[in-house]
Amino acid sequence: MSPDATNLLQGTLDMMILKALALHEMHGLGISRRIEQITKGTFQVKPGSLFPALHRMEEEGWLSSAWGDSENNRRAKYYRLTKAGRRQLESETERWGRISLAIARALEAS
Amino acid sequence: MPILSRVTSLLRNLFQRRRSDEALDAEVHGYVDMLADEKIRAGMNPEDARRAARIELGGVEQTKEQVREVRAGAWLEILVQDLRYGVRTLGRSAGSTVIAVLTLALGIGANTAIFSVIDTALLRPLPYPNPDRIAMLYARSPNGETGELSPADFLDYKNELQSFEYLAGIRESSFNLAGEDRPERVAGTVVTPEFFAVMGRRAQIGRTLIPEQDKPSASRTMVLSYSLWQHRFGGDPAILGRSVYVDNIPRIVVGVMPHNFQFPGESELWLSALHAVPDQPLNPAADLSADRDSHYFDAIGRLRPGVNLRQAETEAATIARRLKQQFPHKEAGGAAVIFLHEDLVGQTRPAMLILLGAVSLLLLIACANVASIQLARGASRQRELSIRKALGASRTRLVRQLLTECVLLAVAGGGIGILLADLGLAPLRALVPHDVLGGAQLALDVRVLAFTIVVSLGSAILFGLLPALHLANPDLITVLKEAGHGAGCSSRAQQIRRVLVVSEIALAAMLLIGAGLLIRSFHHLLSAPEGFRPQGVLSLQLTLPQARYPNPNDRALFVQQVIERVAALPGVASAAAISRLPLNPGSSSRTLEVEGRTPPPAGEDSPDYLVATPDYFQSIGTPLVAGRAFTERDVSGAPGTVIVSQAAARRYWPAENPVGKHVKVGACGDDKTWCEVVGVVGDVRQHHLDQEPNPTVYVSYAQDPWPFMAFIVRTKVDPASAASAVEAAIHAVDKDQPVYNVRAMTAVIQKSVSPQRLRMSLLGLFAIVALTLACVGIYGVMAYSVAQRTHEIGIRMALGAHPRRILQVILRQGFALALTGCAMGLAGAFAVTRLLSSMLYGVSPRDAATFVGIPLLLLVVALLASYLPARRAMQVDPMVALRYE
Repeated sequence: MSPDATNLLQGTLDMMILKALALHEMHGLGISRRIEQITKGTFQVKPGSLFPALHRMEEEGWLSSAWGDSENNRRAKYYRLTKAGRRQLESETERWGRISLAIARALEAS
Repeated sequence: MPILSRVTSLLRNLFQRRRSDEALDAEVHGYVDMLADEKIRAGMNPEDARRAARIELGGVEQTKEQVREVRAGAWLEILVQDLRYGVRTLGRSAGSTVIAVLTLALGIGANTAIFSVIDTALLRPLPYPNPDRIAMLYARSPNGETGELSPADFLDYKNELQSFEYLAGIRESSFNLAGEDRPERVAGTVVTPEFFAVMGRRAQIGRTLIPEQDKPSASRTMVLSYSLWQHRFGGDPAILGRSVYVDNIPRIVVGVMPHNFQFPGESELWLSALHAVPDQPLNPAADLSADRDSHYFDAIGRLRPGVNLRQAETEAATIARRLKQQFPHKEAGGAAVIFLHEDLVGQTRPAMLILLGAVSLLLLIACANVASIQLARGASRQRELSIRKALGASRTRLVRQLLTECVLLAVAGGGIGILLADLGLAPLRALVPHDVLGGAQLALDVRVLAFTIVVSLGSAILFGLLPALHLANPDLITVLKEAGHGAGCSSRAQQIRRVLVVSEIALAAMLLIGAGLLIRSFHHLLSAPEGFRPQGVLSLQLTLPQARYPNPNDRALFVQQVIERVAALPGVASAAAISRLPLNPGSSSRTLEVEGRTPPPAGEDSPDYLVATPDYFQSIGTPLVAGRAFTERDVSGAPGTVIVSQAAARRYWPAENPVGKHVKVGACGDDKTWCEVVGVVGDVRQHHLDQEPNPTVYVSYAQDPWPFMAFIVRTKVDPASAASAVEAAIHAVDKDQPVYNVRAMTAVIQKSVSPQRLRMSLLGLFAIVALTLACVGIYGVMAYSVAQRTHEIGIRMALGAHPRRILQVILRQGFALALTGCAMGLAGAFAVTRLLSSMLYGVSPRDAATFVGIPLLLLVVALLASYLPARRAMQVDPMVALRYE
């Protein structure tokens, strides 16, 4: 499935979330901080975008959630990748690779 | 799989909403708390940290809402929410909701029903193959009237006309069926065998009549209708080839028609003509092929492909002219060819179009009312909508909400409307000429239904969404500050409402005037002098078959015996027989020759010709003006006697007394002898109540015993109660004689005006509904205006204004609206009522009484409608009003 241009931003956010969860499960705030970290501050995800994305992706079947205790003993919802989510991450990564290569080539051409 | 997962989520969202909501709430709050913790760790104090966290989140509720919007099934959730909210809102203003729904229902229902019926009547093609090729051929007399053909003329046309592929002669009548279990009288048609080729329909079983096999004088065959076959012969296929006694003549059944073939009229059987033309009713066995003078049957034919109507008519007219030259004494010198559909429908078309117009006006009024209600509702919701917008509702969401409410209204109104339309179909069936339906069913036209719904829905939506559109440039602060009644947009709404109400009143006035004219016309019709006294008179009809009563004396004897028996019954004052009942369309006329004057050309200006027994005038209640009535001495063999009507006396003996003069007419008088006029009687409306009586000539029954007659019995008791005794008396003389149309004369009169009554009732119904709607409209506008100005009224009263003065002011406003509407309505009616003139009797289309009376009625009603709100204004407590925001 290829998202169309208007969903590019949404698709990008999805990918970031999938990548952030690649190693281990995290709660909402943790995901937000991790994305900041791995993009070296470029992407700062607002909760207004994060939560809808998380819930949507969970409904798509890419994430699963469970309640647990956070560092400060607060109840929080933890998200983790499902098998389908991992597959999605792989295909998205590969697609982005192709796209950025193509764009780089286009910009280099004279 | 994403689909499976989505479906699961959808279901979970729908059915476990509360749990999901709680979880979401916990999750978002948890996020805020953790964010706050972060900031505390970074050094902020706890309170600032929590506040900062909340601000960063952007609002718990907003975030939750954003999540909800992307959830699977979000649209469904929103829809359900909108629906529930819509229902609640509509329920809060239950009064106006109910009125809006009923108004929509009435408009949709009435329109769909009438349009469907009239569309069927006017536009539906007749149920025959290539029905636009079937046409009637009539003789045309010099004054333009069409009439029936004579046998010799018909045969000439048949042989010479090239334009017609087939031409058949048909004569509608009714016939006695005997044998089986009981005698019965059925409608039927005598046809020449080309008839079925003209109609183009085949038999269901057996065959139809065919020229090759049903040659004149070769066989006496007949074809049955499906319903007659079912109910009298049990649907038995063995009927084919059997003999059935029709008017005491055996006929062989050769076929049965399909169930949806019934033409002409309500014919249940089709008899093959015994000769080349249909039989003459008075003398069925005679071969009249050479007769050029008796006009008694119709010609119907199928045009050749490629021939148009005008060509056919021109050709027929040429032949007619030639015949007139050859036979100068013929009455008619022209011919007319008319498509069958036009023939059936042409007469009723004006009335139906008027009904269509009236019901369209009603729809307009209904739409105006709904629009007005929507405007009022919208104006009072400005505040609510502005607040919602301030709280973050998107314009789309608000529009969708309002749209949902309008759709709810439309669905409710439309649903009830469909029910109403369906209920209305049955009584409206009477509007459609029988032959057009031809046995088919009447159904609601789906296109009309769709159109009406779209129109009503359109007006509901258009005016319901206006407040939302006003939010495009909202000065929110102003709107919120103004105590719910804004000076700006809502007064424009009020203006539009005023315009709507004025138009409603104008349209209602037009409908009322139209209905008023029809009602007055109907009353005039009913009070027209019939020329006889119908109260307490019973009538029955019967026809003596030629085969059983071949001799005129037998018929005279039958009638005499019946009258003797019936007159002897207790409860009977007198009894008589007449060849044709009054108020019976159709005529029998004979040329009248007066002694001493040149005989008039055949057929021209012939008086109506009736035969009557001695007590007829006494029984029916027609006064004897001069001379004497018939007596027992006026029998066959005695000198011929004739009684004339006053109109005949005026026409033929303008300055003299006709009694004693000599004439020849019909069977009275021949080459050697003249008949004497022995009496003059009052005029009787023989054809229609709205037609001036024709000159009429009566001959004694015994001297010209006709086979068909009606018995007139003047009873001392209620006529209906004497019916069975009279029938028994008839059957005592001849047990196999079917008697039909047994009814009181008052019922005969009622039946003769039933088309007028139907039109009057329908238009009256529309007018009353329109008046009600207009009143509701006025009430709504005035009530709203008063509610708006409660504050202002309170101030006035506090400053000393008398409550009565307030009442007057409000009443005056309502009156002004009504007056404007009436004026416009009068102008409109003036222009339009002349369309009604063909339906009016004794009343001019600009009748002063109606044009003055109706507006007065409207003004009074409008004042009443304004009175309630005005009274409420009067009762405003200044203290409450001043406090009321």
